[in-house]
Order: sequence, then structure tokens, then C-alpha cells
Amino acid sequence: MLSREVIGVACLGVVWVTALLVAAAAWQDLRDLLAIRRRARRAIVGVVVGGDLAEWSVEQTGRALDASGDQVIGFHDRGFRSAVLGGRVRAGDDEIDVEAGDGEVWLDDDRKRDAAACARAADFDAAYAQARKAKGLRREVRVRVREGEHVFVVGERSGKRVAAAIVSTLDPAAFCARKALGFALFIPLELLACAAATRLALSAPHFGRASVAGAIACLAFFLGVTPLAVSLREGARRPHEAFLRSRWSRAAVAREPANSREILRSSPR
Amino acid sequence: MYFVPRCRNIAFLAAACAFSFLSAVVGHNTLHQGMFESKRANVLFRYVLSFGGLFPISAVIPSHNLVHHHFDDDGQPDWAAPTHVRFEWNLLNLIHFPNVAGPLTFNGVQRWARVLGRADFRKQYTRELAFAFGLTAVLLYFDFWTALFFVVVPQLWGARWFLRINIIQHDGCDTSSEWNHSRNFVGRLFNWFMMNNGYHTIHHNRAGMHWSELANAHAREVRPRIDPSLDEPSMSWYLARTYLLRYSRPKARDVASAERVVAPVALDSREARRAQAESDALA
Repeated sequence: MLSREVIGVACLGVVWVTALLVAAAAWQDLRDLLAIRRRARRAIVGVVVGGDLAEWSVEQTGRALDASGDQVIGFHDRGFRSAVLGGRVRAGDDEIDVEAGDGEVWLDDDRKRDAAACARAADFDAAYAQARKAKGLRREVRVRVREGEHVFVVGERSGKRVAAAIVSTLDPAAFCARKALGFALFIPLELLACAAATRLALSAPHFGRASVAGAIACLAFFLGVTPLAVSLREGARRPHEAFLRSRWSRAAVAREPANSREILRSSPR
Repeated sequence: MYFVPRCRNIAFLAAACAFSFLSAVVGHNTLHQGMFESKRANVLFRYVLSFGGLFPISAVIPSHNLVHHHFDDDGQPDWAAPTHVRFEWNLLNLIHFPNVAGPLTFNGVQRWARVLGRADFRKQYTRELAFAFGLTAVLLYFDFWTALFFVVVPQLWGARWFLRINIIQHDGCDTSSEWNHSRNFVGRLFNWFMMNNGYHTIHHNRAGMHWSELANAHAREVRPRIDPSLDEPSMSWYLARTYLLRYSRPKARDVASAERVVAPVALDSREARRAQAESDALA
């Protein structure tokens, strides 16, 4: 016979190995964010002058979704592209030349969402007809960093030139700090949750009612901590490759007055 | 084990874990090609298989047949791509892999299932989920510890190793190539137990082929085109060599060079194969 004690301890071991691996993976993400933050603190902060500086785009496939009483298109991100077009940034009294290259372009979520939104019912209807087909609707959402915009440029600077690793319209150091804080809180909290469940599972009398509750807590932790960790990781993707996805709803388009915002920089392909 | 206390020993527990894993392997095979002629019997069998691994076995259709077979989620990486884990100590990658691939898979399945015309899939998926978790909950209710240790543990073992097979079969391979995207385990005894699932390259390329034909097709089509390092005689030795006897992850090599020097074989494009798989899945 295999005693309950032996198999119980083995199960707790598996739960703890999982908890520690999840913590270690979160630590990797935290470490990466802090490394970017260190570089981003030396960013050149200024205003774009003399033309568009950078472009971010995502290629998407739109498919009609099941939605009772409405027509909805759900967009799936196929691939992201960042391009630093090159240009100039005025930082105080200096004008810095930003070299063209393939640095990351970080934009705030609102701008991306606006660019991906649908303005007119006619656009929606045309798109929906395509989205119902097996191949779906292919489109590209593009957003440019334009003249007059406030930007942060992270990269190797030599004199008045910079090879940009990141061109961002949001403070990249603050972004990294915010996301890193999520991981920094998650790691001790998930280990604490595991410890609490373990403590409950080991309550005396062993294998009594409290112990059962602890075992259920351990099982719930084991099944629940990994989706949580993955969603945290997905939510901390750097803005140039953060999922946009987005949805168009026929009912929502019908409610909005036409030309209520500057949208549809996206182009069906 | 649940009903006979004398069976609650390490041998039966190990057998239960192995059978849970094999039930997922059977699930994989039957979702490529139904085991029964009756569609109803195939659907009912899915409930049994879902209980075996404590997950809706129908999830295999989008996650494996459609995404994994083509190493592509419509432009994004496969939900079970080995690159989702990145520890320096390679053993940790093997252990941790299901912790990442599992949630990514189920998130992906949920997104796929929301598309218009997939209501039947959603119903079946939900019923399998309810059956697997419902029956397990009933067993836990009547005899908690026995069910936890001798039912839930094997279920989770099977499901997690089923996910882990993805990193074992593809890490270090060139998933952009046609014949060197997978690692094959060609031992005869292994393939007897595993229903020829060791012949993985040919399975990817000819997904509709019955598992009993894979060994011959592997010898005919794959062997001339594959880097010899991807034809492993023993999975146990591969696991020991790759995860226990070394610390770091093996560096990727240009394994696809093996197929560039041999005459090509007629093979539909990945897009065409995916479209075919999608239409079969929803038929």
C-alpha cells in the first residue's frame, strides 16, 4: 500500500515546484523589464520636428463572431512591425537627429485602439461580408508618430545623433516600472498563497476536514496560478508587440455619430 | 484503485498515470481520424477521453490539428511552441513547459471557438468540460483522498505530459522546414505502446494518414530527408541526454539542410493543409 502521507508529501512537492517555477519565470520577465527601465531612464525627451518620426503597424485578420442579436467582428493580430523612419527631435535647446532603423515603436493603447476602431456603418458592413468568409478580413492598422508629438527616444547617442532602440509616445521607464511592479507583487503573493494552502493542508488532524480544505486550496492553486501568470506575462508585453486584437460591433457603430473621432488609418487588404 | 483498496500502490498509480497519458494519445489519434464509424459513438468516446485527462479532449482540434500542425496561430506562434519557456537550465524548461503552454492553449481555444459557425464545437467542449470535472467532483465527494491521489493525480500527470511532448518533439528543430520540423522516436516497442506517435514528422505532413501506416511512410518519405539527429532510437535516452546529463539547452543547428539535397516530394502547402483540417474539423 502507498500511504497517504507519502503521496500527500509528493503532491505538495509538485505544487511547490510549480509555484517556484512560476515565480522564477516571473522573475525573468521582471529582470528584463528592469533592464529596459535602466536604459529608458536615459531617454531623450523631446518633440518631433520636421516630419513623421516612426510608424507602428499590426497586420490583422478579422472574423465574424457569434454574438446574439448583433454582428461582431473579432480581430486577431498576425504580426507587428515597427519602423523608425528617421527625423529630428527637439529636446530643450538641442535638435537631435534620430537615425532610421528598426527600433521598437511604443504607442499608448488609446491611439492604437482609435486607429483600429470603425467609424461608419458602411465600413462595418463591407468588412463584415469579408469577415464571414473562411479566409476572414485581412487589414493593417498603422499609426505614425507625427510632427509635434512628445516622444521618448531610447538608444545609443553619439553627439547630436541617436540610433533609436525605442521611440515611444509614453514614458518607457514609467511603463516598465508599472509592469515590473506587477511581477514584483505577484512573486511573493503567489508564494504566500501556496504557503497558506500548504499550511491548511497540513492542519491537524492530518487528512481531517481542514486538511481537505487545504488540499482543495492546493489543487485550486495548482490549476489557477499558471493561467494567472500567463495573463500577467501577456499583459506585460512591450507596447510594440502588445496584442491589440479589438472588436467591431454593428450595434456600437450604429450608436456612434459619424466622424466622431479620427479613425480608420487602417486599410483593408 | 478507487474501489479496491489493495490496488492503492505505486505500481497501480504508475499504471494509472501511464494510461491517462495514453488516453490523451488516443484522443489525439481519434480527433485526427474517428475510431468508430458512428459519429455519435465518436462524440461519446470524447467524454471518456476528457475524463482521462481532466480537460475537454475536443480542445485538441484547434490547438493541435489546426495550430500546432502548422506551427502557426494565424501569424502568431504555435500555442505549444518550445520557445515559450527560456530557462538556462534545460530541465526546468521541460518541467515548466505545461505551465505556459496549457493556459496559452486554453486561451487560444476560447478565442477560436468564438468565431461564427463554431457553436457545435462550443457545446461539445462545454459538455466535455462539465463531464470531466463533474465526474471527478463526484469521486472527490464520496472519497476525497482516494480520488485526489489515485484519480486526479494521474489525470494531471497525463494532461501535462501530453503538453510536454510538444517541447520534446520540436525543441531544436526547424519548424519552418517541411521535413525537419519534428523529432522522431523510432523504437519499435515505444511505437507499439504509443500507437506510432513516435513517427511525428510524417504525422505532421500527412495528418489524415492512419497511425498504423506511419512507420512505412516514415521510412519512405522522411528518412531520406531528415537530419539523422532527429531520428532518435530511444525517447528515454534522449530525455536523459537532453535534460539530465547536461545543463544548458542544446543550440539550434541547421537541421533543414538535410532536405535541401534530396528531391522534393509532392506535399500540399501548409495553408492548404490547414484549410483542409479546418473544414474536416467543422464537418
